[in-house]
Amino acid sequence: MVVDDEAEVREALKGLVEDLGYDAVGAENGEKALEQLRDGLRPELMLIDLAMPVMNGWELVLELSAAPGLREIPVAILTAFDQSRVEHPRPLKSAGTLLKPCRKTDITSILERFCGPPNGSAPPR
Amino acid sequence: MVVGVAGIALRTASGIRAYVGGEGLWSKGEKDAAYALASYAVTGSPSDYSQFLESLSVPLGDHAGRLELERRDMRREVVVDGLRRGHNHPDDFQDLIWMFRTFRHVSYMERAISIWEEGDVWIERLGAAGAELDAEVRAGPLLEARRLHYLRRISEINRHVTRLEDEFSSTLGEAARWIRSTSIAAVLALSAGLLAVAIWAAFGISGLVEKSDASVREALEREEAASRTKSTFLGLVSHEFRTPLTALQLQIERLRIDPRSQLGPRQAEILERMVDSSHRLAEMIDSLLQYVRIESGGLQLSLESIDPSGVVAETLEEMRLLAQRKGLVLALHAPPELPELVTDRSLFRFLVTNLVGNAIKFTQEGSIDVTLAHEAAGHRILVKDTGPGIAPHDHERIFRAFEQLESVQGRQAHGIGLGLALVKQITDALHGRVELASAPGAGSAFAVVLPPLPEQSLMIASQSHE
Repeated sequence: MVVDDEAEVREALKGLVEDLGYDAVGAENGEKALEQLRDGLRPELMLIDLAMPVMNGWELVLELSAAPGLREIPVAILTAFDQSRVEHPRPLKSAGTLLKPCRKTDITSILERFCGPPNGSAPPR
Repeated sequence: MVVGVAGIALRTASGIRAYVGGEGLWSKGEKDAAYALASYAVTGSPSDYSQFLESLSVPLGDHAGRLELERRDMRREVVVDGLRRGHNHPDDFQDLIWMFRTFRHVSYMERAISIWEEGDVWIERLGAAGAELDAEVRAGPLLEARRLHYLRRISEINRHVTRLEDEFSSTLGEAARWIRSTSIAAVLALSAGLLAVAIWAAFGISGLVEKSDASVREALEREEAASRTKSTFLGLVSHEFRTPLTALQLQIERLRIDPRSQLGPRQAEILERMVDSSHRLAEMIDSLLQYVRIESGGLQLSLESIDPSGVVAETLEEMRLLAQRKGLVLALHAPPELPELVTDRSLFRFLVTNLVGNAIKFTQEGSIDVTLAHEAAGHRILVKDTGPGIAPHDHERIFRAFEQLESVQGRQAHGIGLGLALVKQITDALHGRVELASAPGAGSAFAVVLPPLPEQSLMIASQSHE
């Protein structure tokens, strides 16, 4: 799941992840992300932007950590702010940090680590 | 007579100690309140706001106490109530009240009181900021820009209060020292017997006046630096550029990797040019943000011991392709027994990348030689090229931000002219120096000399003063 309020980044990232052979959904803020999770969706990985309206990345990570079914979902922080400027949230299961603009190799390595090889080449997790 | 003087000296000493203690609690209350409010701005959690109110009640209690102390018809219970809310020890109430009422118009006390008054104004502002923030948070989630607005306000208030706290402390320190010298003079003149007692009492105070509360200050300073970076025009603009740039790079990647796109060779070539341009754009935005960040004092060094030859070799590998494309030879010369260097790894790499990148950019044919050496002054990294060279009258100018050097052939130089300014900024932050030897037709030799640094895990670089 790609959680980012900027539609152009969210759609581009979602598209790239799909082109790389994975399924992807998007959410425009923390609250929309939680709605989908509460409906039962369990992504293998969440990419979470920090600065979002309605519910930002810090708040979303707090919410995830507090929920028994959600806290095991690996989370990668997706942001333009690096740690020397603003404190990043610490998810219970961290998949690392992607600094915008992110490199394709960073994305593929995180995807392979947490979502396994792309669809069609291995049994689903 | 002697007992009387010593008695007053002792009581005054005790009173000053009570104020020192009270000020420490006041200052802790203010710092805790500022920190809690900053947390509230980030988390929006009601418990942070309650913590803020609770901590703020300490300086507010002292404020109420002070107002009552100023009154001619002072009501003792009101003062005591305020002092208690200020977390002062009940045993100190007597001395605090006596000091205030007796010495109110004596220079040191007068100064301390006026500093206290100024501090109360800032506390009031902090309270107001808190109420406004709370209203906004309750009305709906906080936008990033508003969050930064509040963090900035809190930092500003904290900065002023910290300055006042230091002034208050040093005023009390001076008062203590004045009493010490006056008491000693008085008692010496009267009797040697009680000298020991008076000195002991007076010396007991000066030690308490030193205080530090670095940790929260640092946390707030970091928030301040972060928000200040964005608040300059340059910072804001270049930060905003990152969003469309990210999307652009991602979409280009999709075209490149997708086998279904069936790109002909011409289109593939065009796509590669797009990739190059977007990388250059990303580099420019990064150097702009880096420059703005360093200028606003936000650079943090993370020191470690590195193997300079290894790191330089790695960095050069990444640039080899770029050099080859222009037909340039890129060579590294490093003695085998080069000692380790204590520095910030990523900044060190940045220096090398920048100098070598510049050399490649401005050299049309020949070679670029990187030589490492260790001398008395520290480690020397020399980047020598066979390019057109730089005229002596330009040697100083090129290190200034946004200054460019047109190449000899008159072609427009790429980039925004921050590379060398950043090299200088970062070298300064590492306490090193940059040297340049160059003349038209003779190529250029840029050298960075880095002295040994004490090994600490984290060091905040001081703001460069240009």
